[in-house]
Amino acid sequence: MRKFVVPLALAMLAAGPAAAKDVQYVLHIDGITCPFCVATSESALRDMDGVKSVSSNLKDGTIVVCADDEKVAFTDPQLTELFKEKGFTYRGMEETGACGA
Amino acid sequence: MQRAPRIRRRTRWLPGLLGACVLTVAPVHAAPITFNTGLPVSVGHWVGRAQAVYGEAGSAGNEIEEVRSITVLGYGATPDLALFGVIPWVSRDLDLAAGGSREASGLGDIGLFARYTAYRRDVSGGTFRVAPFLGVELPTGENRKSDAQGRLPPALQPGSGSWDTFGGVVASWATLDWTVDGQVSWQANARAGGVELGDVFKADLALYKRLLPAELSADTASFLLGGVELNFEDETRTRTGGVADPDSGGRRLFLTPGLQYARKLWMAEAAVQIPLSQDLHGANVERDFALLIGLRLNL
Repeated sequence: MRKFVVPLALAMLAAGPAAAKDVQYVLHIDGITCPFCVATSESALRDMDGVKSVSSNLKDGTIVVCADDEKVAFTDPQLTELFKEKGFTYRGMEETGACGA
Repeated sequence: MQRAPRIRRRTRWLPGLLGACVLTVAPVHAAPITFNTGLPVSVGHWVGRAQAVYGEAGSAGNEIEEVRSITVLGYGATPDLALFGVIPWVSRDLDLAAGGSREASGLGDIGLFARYTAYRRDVSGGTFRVAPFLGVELPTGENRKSDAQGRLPPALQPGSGSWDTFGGVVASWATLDWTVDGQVSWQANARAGGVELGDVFKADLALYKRLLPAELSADTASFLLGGVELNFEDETRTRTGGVADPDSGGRRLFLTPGLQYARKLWMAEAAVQIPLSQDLHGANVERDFALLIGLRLNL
């Protein structure tokens, strides 16, 4: 029995608590028409704790955010207000899995 | 005094042009060069714009050169309300046909105005906005400068000495490929030192197209825009001591081709303004051309 318990305990210790993972969000924004216009929105997202990278895709009208899923939990009301203040209209978001996916 | 109305009329096109450049604002697209209907500014952020203009005008052998710089600061107070300050500096040089010259330079009249976005419709890759604006021009510029020949005419003075009000409405339709802006405005000039400059109605239209990149991609981070702007203004006669100056006021129409290079944090712009038509009263001075360059920053 001991020969099973000890390795199991060691394996559990090695695993430790659940590791944080980065998640990619694709935000759909209406009204973005130029690089200059979207800069303050990118900056506001980048300043959020847990956000690791932000990039805009003007062609698709999307902003891609890579964030620590333990620190960032976007909500529709939160993003609606944020983009209203930046002069745009938030339409929705998708969580697309790991960053870079 | 006989020169004053000419100078005033002649030099007023640049202040008018620059006033148009800085006195109108609406958020979220590239914005014209000769008026600021597109200056983007969001809540809690500042936008800065600096423009320099060199212009020449002439009549009956008199030549006028004017160099102006305008610094604009805008702040987003609410999602719909933006507040702006306009700080002009001006240098004017008049070469008289009869010989000699007169010049003046200094701080001009600072403008303060607010713009309220009354209607906004966003779609994917496009936006349409309508925004009225209202402001006041403070008598911060000196209007009593003198030289060896005596008091300079009002048109050479950096400031008007009066509290002037202006207002209008701007509409913008912007897509990823095209931007169209239009505005109408009215400036009511008050009397100061016995001189009341003519009121000015303006109607401006700007059309810009994205030239580069030809095709958008996920990596697109800059735009080169090219376009033309039409600037119309109708100015009533200046009144001095209650008497209308017969050589003041009239209608002008300009064509202004321009280029803009936009990145995320800054934007550079350049244009040349060419008169298409000048239907002026009496011997009012005709404008020859103006060169504009500017830089805009997201602060």
